[in-house]
Amino acid sequence: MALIDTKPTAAPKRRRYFATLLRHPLALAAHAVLALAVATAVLASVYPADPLKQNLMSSLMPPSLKVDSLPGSQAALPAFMGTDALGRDLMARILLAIRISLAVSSLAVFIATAVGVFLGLVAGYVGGVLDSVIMRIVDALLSLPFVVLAIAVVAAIGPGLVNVALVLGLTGWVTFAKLVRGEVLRIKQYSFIEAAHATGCSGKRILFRHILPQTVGIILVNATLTMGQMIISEATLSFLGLGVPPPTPSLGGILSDAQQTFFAAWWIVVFPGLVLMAIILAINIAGDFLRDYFDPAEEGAL
Amino acid sequence: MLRFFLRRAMESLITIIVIVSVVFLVLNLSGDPIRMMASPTASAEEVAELRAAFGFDKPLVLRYGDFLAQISRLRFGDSISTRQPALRMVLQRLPATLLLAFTALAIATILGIPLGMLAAVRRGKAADTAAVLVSMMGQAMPVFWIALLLIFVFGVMIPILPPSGYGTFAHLVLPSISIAIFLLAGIVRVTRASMLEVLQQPFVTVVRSKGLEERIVLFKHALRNASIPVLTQLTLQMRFVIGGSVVVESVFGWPGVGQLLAQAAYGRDYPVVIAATFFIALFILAFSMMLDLAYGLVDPRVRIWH
Repeated sequence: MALIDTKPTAAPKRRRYFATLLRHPLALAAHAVLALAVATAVLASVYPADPLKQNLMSSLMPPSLKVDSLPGSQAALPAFMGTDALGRDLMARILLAIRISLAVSSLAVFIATAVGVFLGLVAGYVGGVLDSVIMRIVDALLSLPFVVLAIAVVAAIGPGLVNVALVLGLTGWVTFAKLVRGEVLRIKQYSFIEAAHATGCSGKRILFRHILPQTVGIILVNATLTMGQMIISEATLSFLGLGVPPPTPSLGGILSDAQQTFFAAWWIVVFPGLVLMAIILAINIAGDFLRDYFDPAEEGAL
Repeated sequence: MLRFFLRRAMESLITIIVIVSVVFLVLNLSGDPIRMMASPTASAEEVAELRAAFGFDKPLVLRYGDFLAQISRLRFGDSISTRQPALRMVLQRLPATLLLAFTALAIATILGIPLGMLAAVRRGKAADTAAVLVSMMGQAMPVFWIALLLIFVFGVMIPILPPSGYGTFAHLVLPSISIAIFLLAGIVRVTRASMLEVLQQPFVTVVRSKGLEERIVLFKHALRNASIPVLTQLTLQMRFVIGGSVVVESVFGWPGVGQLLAQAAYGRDYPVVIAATFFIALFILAFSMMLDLAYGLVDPRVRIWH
């Protein structure tokens, strides 16, 4: 039996996460909502109603539980959330929109994390002029509202499914760069980095094998909170007609269409917004939980 | 004080140069702006003519130099869609945005600080839980959804306010409340946290034990000490106000810079996009500079001027 357990295995760590989660009902609920959202996104196309099929006979039908309330549908299915102005089943559209929203936002977060973490590592480790230049850009971009920056970039590369993810990713990296740079500056001073130098590790190895793993917690927390921001931003861009182009359903796009039929159809305004709010609320709560989990010293919302 | 101003002005200048440079680079590296500008049926000659007219026939570095020289003289060029000077279009719309932004910020501050204080004083009680819940909800609701719900309730169900437009006081109510609800969340949270910290400090116990009225303890002693994080939050909030106004202006047909920016981006109207971004950045930087001065007013320890 080893006296000092230097390599704790992954399993107890994971068990500790779930054990902590069980003690925080709010965070547990948030995780459940997120699991549901991901399951919905994956299974969206299983839902029998067609999200794109127009049917003017069933235009603007209110939500109903009656089985034949969605005329013209192959499946005998009630229009749980009603239909939109073109007679499309709102439930089917929202389910697909959740998939689109999560896919675009995940890709955006991935790009933002990759770019931001890399630039943050380099800026913090190399220092000097490179650091000053990167941080100047970071501070400048941080002084603008995220939406304004994203809109300016959309003006350049145009709307579209992949473009939205690109725009959001390429404008969202700044917080990662700032956070990671700060962490690198802190970690750089520890003696184990000096030891790594002394044993002849290359700068690249120190940066990616010794410093990067130390920043995983803070990156994960920021990625979670950024995910919420990306979902809001994607919805905002789509709402303004600068995001996911129709007829592909997006939560922002559905809400934008809802403006035309405001006076007749409350359900098109209420349901997509509720879905957005539930997902973002869950992400924010889960993010706060993660932060407390990785940094118990800091007293948070939990 | 003068030195502070000069240093901040220099920093702001660099920030603005970086911002317009980034926008310029993105515009130029993401394909050929002229190809997108010209109609699809335009002949090669027409395209070349347009290219020369906007100076796109020169190499990128030269264009960048020209661009900075033009911007530094506030020449943003003419709008592609209206053929009016982009500068004038933005300046015409600036007052509407400022009116909306400051009204929203005022509503959020006037409601948010007392609510945050209330939550801190009643820590753990119903009022606190309610405030925390409301601020969590407020931060999870997209601004445009708040706007749509407000229009639905006060413009459609109980039609007492105009659902869109500009001009009278009544038109200002719904747009500013939409932005304020979102801001409120952040202000309540920061005020609450900051107050909780201050209320634990010994000096609060001292002023309480000398028999001071709780009202004076809270508003005169605690609030003043708790206000620095709140002011910092306001600087951050101004970014959200402007970000929110882009969307809210579009929903309510409010003729401000935000709506102009969204429309210009939709129509790929680069001169207007750059001019609008420039003035939004300028306004936010000026506002944060003013708040830095305000720090000194509430807390002499961080006074930057002497």
